Amino acid sequence: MMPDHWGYVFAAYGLSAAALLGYWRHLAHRRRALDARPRTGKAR
Amino acid sequence: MSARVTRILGGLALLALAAGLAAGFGYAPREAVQGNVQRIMYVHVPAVLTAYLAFGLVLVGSVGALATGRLSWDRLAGAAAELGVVFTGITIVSGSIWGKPTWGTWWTWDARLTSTAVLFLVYAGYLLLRAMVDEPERRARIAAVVGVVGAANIPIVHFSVKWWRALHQPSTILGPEPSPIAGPIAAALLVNWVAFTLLFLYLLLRRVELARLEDAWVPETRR
Amino acid sequence: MIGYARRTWIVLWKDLLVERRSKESLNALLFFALLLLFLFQFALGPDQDRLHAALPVLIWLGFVLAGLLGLGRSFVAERDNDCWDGLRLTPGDKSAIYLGKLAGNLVVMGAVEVVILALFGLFYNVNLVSVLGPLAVVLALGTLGLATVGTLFAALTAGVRARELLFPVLLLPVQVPVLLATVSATQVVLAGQPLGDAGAWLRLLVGADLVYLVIGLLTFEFILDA
Repeated sequence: MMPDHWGYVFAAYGLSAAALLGYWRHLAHRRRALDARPRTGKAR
Repeated sequence: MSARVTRILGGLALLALAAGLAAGFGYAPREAVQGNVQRIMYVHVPAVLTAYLAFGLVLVGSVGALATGRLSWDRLAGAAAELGVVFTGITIVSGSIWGKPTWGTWWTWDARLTSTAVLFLVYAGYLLLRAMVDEPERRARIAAVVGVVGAANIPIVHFSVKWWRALHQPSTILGPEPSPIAGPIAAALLVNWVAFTLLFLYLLLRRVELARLEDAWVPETRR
Repeated sequence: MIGYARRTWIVLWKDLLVERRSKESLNALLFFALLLLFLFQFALGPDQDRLHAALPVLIWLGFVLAGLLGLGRSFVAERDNDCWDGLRLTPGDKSAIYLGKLAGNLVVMGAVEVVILALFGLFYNVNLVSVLGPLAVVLALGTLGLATVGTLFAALTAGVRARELLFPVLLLPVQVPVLLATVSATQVVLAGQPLGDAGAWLRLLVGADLVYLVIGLLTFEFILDA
């Protein structure tokens, strides 16, 4: 019977959540940067 | 795909993730042999399944780009590859953290971890390649070829590593996964897998949209 | 069909001719092989058993490193000398170019491998002659796996930024399973066992080689047009 390793459990969940949240924020950041760029009148 | 659909998908994903957490910590029981550390499985297994879905889409996008020459396929491939690498990273890290208390070591060359590590390297290289080519049409073609090779490689990796492990390890591998996957555990696994898939689709849509906008943006002409 | 074979042959012949005349890469590769020989001896030194146990890996490490140097430069000459468009405008099935390049790479790599093997056999006191047949089969299959993807990726990275970095970064992870199978089969063969004992590995290699070859043939012209 193994002792509980809650530290490891929270570490795994925490890092995974951080990675996914980080990626989501990265996408949002790039989107904002794109919207902030000056545009020309023409589209491709 | 409209922004509204994307937002709804995001909301659904969030709900599903919450349900997954509840299932993983509340509904699923404390596992008999490993104790509560087994709950990492509810992140690890859905992550690897999602990664495989992502890399499947990379293949679809790559073949589509080669067959039709239309950039939308390439945008799908690139976005899916990014997400695939993220989820593969999560798979490896969670697997490693799971392994430390159960196997006593941060890393072990078991079949799944080894295969996943190779997968990670293949698609990280794919992303690096994409970063080195600026022209969209050229990037699409070159990346698509690597995408096809990478996908063809997956079963080859799977079998070679599996046979290699079979040679050097007795067949009763004491892996972290509990052997018969019983009712509540399987249910929690399913809920989390659905949640991960929804999250993946939401992020994929956003990433593809971002790529589409970036391709369409025309810089100001110099005076 | 005749035209296709002819085009393949022309590419192969041109590359071999360039190789013979310049002798650049061949010399560099052989020198590199000698260096490896010394390094491995220093690393694993007096313990003959350890050395012999590590031999399959050492041999293929040598082949792969030499291959990285040689394969990576498959298309540099065309790119640098503005011949790329010439390749693009070739009439007919462009996969013949891929095949010709592949054949050329196989010949060069084969020559390097024979020399490396001879040197290893000599300096590490290994009897390779007794297992020459099976060893040749494993070598051929393994080298084919390396060269099919290597030639394709060389074309692919020819005009890309940071090519020298990208080429090994792309090639090596894809080669992992093939190398695993090759080294395992080499282990079986060098131990004096019959070729059949490595049957599963050989079947994997044949399958992988076929898959990579087909992909190379089908996708090469997309790379040319890129």
